Amino acid sequence: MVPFCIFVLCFFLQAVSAVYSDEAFRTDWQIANLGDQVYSSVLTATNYITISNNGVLSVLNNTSKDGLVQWRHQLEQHTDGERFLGVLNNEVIVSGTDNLLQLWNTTSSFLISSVYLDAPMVGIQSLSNGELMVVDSSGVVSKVDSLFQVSSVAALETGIIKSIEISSLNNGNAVILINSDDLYLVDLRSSSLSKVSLKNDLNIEATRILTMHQNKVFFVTPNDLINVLVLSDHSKVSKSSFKEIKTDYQSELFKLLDLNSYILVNNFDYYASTTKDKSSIKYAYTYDENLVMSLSYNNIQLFDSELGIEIVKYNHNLDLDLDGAKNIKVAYTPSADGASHNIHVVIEYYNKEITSIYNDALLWNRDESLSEVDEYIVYDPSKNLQSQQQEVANFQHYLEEENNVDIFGAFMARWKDHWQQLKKLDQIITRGFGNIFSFGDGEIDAKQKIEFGLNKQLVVLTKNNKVFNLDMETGKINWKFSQLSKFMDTNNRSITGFLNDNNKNIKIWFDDGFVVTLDIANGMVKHTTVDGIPAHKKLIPVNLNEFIHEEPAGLLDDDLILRLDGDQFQYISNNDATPELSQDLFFSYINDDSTAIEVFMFNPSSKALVNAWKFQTDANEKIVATASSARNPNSMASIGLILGDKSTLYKYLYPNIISLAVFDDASQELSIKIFDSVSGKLIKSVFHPATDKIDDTSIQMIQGDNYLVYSFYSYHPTISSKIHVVEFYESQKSDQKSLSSITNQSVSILDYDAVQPFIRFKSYNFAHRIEKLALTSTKFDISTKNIIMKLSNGQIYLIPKFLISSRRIEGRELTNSEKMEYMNIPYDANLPINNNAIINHKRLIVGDNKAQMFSVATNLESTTIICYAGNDIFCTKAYPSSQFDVLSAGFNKGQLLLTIAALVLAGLVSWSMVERKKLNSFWIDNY
Amino acid sequence: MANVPNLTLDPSLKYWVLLPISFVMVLVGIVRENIQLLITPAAKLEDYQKIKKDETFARIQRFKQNFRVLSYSDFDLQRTALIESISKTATEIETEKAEKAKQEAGDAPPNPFADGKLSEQLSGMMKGNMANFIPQTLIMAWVNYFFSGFVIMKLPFPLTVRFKQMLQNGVSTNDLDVRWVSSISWYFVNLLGLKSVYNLLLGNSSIADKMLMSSGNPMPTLDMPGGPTTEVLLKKEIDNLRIIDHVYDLDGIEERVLNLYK
Repeated sequence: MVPFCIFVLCFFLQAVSAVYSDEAFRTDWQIANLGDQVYSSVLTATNYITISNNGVLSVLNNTSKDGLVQWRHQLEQHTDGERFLGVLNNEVIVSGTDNLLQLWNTTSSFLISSVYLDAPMVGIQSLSNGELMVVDSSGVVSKVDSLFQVSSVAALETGIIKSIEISSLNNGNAVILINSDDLYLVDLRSSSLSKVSLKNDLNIEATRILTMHQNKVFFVTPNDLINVLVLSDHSKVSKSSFKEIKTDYQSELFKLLDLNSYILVNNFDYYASTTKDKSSIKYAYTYDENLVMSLSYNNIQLFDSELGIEIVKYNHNLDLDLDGAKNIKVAYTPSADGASHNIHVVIEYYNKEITSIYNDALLWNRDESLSEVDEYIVYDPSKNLQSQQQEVANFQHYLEEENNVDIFGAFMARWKDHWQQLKKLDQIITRGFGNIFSFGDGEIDAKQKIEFGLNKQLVVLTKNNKVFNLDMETGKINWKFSQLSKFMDTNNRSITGFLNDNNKNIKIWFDDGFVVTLDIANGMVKHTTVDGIPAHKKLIPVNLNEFIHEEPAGLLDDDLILRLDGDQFQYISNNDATPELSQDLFFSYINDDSTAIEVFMFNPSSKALVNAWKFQTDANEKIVATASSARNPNSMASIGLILGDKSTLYKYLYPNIISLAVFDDASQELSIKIFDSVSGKLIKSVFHPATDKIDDTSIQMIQGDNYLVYSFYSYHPTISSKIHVVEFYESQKSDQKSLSSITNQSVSILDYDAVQPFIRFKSYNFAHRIEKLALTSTKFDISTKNIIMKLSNGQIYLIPKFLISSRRIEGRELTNSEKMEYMNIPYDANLPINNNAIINHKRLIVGDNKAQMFSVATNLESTTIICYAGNDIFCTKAYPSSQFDVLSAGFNKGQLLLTIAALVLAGLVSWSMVERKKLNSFWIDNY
Repeated sequence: MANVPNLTLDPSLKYWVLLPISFVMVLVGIVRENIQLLITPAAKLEDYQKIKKDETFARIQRFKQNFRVLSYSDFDLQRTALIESISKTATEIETEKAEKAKQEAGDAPPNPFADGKLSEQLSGMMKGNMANFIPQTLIMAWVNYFFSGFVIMKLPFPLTVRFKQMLQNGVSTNDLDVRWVSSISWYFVNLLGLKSVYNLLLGNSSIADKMLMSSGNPMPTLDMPGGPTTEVLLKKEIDNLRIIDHVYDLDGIEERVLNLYK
């Protein structure tokens, strides 16, 4: 009875997808980016703080060499207003968007306070006393004090604010320049204002204000010189408190236009002319009244600008590309006694690289290009054609040798082979046994990685035309190619195709037919050709099951259909080894304004592409999402569900199904249309009325073997995501098969055409906003299918498909037979969040619905690699049905050996006791 | 079947799952055998009267089988002595029984379960059973604790879906072919297949059978009331001896020898 009970209890063991604490940061990796484009940044002595265009507030520790993000927060994304950044007392970061002002603790990332202003803010300035000044669009000047209190100080008498410059003065006051003309001085202690007009009061003609720095206003004169207006009185402005310094600097001499924070100082030329070193100095910045810092290609210098004496010179010898710099941030921190001078410099380049220099050393270097991935390729370097051919050649060599040599020769050859093997024996033993008895952290060696198919590489093309090769196991950048723009700038080309060529090369196609071939192993340009075909768009087949590929969907780039100019299409095979296709292939094409889908039929033998059918939406309607069954050619999954009574409910496994989500902008209605992609026949249409209040930007769709899952965020009847599942079966009842043959490969399209699927439908509520949906993919599709959801809160959630099933029983108790069915549970409209299924554990994954999310199968059926490429790149290994084919890292080898040792000990002790008893029984009379 | 996928399995499963389970099962078998030997009570000396009775019957049996080798005079002497000895034994048993009966007449009728010998036998049986199922339970729990959720091998023959629950215990997918089996199946294979290993290691003891059949212990023999008593049987034997028609094997031997060479 007891063994039986234990046996039964074992069935309650639950598989979890969570990453255990000891595996976190080993099974997964993340490239955390600062955002698509740095919008605004602040450099302090310890931190580099940025806010990006897509609203990511990031803080980097700028004292360590790793350059890693300390913390980030995704601010509200959907805003048209400007974003502002400031620092309060060096401890608190202030971010502002529209009316909302938020205060964050720099070290712990806690939100200290949120303040709503009466009008949208237009400017923020940190003051010299550590406080912060905020100006809103109605002209109200407020200050944020060290207790995080926001109080209004004064109101500027102004109309519409077109431009604003704020400068902090040494005494804690601030100068505000509105619309390049009205100059205000705000005395924060007395809350008083004074004002002059540059044009009317000071008679200054400025074509453009460059910037303000402390008590100086730098402007460009009509004859293109930079003049400086110096304010002598720091408590109020009047006609007499200004002095204009005329310089002979031509404005275009300097790249000041690009540098929005700091400015060349007027009297710096004194030093430059005496040292004759002016040409190498690219930028110079002022500090306080009399310090000047200069930055050149290979050094940083600090001068006393009054005396023209060099205080310190740091030779970093980095040969900086200062011409490509978009923005330069400098932080100067002298030691308390003034003996040492520490200078932090952060250079933000146009090519999205960011370099941090501390005195004479490079601190870190980042490339933010990876925040916008355009295309990706996953490949397995061990699976290229060359290595397969080599293997075949080796076998052929053996065969030939066996057929051609005489007996003696064969004997000698065999003897030589064995001798070679014997020589390697010690390696085999050390390696083999080393593996068996390794008590390490479950690390596997390189050979096993190849065997398990884990040594994959991810090649991505970014929006700014850089190619990166990343190791999918570690996230390490193997190589980077950033020269593509060289091919593009001169010829005004754009990229149309990014293809994997036999796991050997990467081909990059341009719209004029120019092709760049990169070596996939090292990123070197192999050759460039111009005999390509001009193309506009690459098309992906509706279903891919006719392609024989090692990797399932998403990675099939060998063959493609290109859309040429003038609605012409062309088939291109990049892989000579691609087997002849036996059936017609179907390609879909959605036009540029998303109002129509066209499906083309491609005949592999004649290489002809013909228009099969077209679906045109009604007026105001647009196609917002599509999905098709990208079928895994290795799939061994069952053709039906085995019910509790052991009967089979057959799935409708028709590969040519394409689903569209069509949204009507005018009526706010959503309809889901499921088509037969061969005939264009509408199989099913689902309608969601305007009363659901659907957010049309949130619609996501995925299609599995016999189901379609789609989700959207809506505000009625509950504010939540709604997940809908549509499942297709051959018939309503089990054990009824309409299609004669058992494998879908041998069932012809005509068979499917004659059979109408039985469709089941269910809807679920999910509390979080879903940004992206994807399906897990494993080698044979045996592991339970899981749906991967990227949530707006930065989590990636894995939910088994059986929870989002149309067969969950609603409104009654499960019958005994239904209880016996695999994972059949009563229907509950609300899908719970299981914390164990959040696969990114404590990492924050930033990105939106434009990101790419995909799952790549490995040779281990249990293991799939899930990658997310949005603002961040994140990859992890997931086990949808737990690790049933591999000894997991959590396997307790020590405990196992301990139990075996205990048993051996028990055996020895009991053996000696038995021997003693036997001896005693001969000699001692117990009667 | 072409449809069964060839899964890639981690080779360390062989070393860390298959081998430990087999090794531990052999070890547990040995420990279990030893424990059984330890809890078995040492053999007790037999009752004198019983031995005497058994020996008397054996002597009668031997005499009845071999009397032909005795000459007439020897036969008579031997029979007389034997009969005398038997009747003496019978008388002794009778007297002893009468005394016992007289003694027990005042006491309550005996409870068969209060019999020390019987309860000893019963507790021995229980211990035997415990020694059988406790190790089995422990190994199963051990296998489930360490090796739950692995697929470790593919059986060379197809099985029906009904085996799935038992053989793929802990593997949380419904689509894996039943040929792929988990570690608990290897436990069953070992349970059935280790008999010869035990025989080799422990001599010809039938431990493997015992592990399979927990009710292997035979029932203890109990004296059945109602049968003929020993003294009656002995008296019957005296009668039997008296009526033996004695023939000496060497009678007429000379003639028989001469006839051989005629």
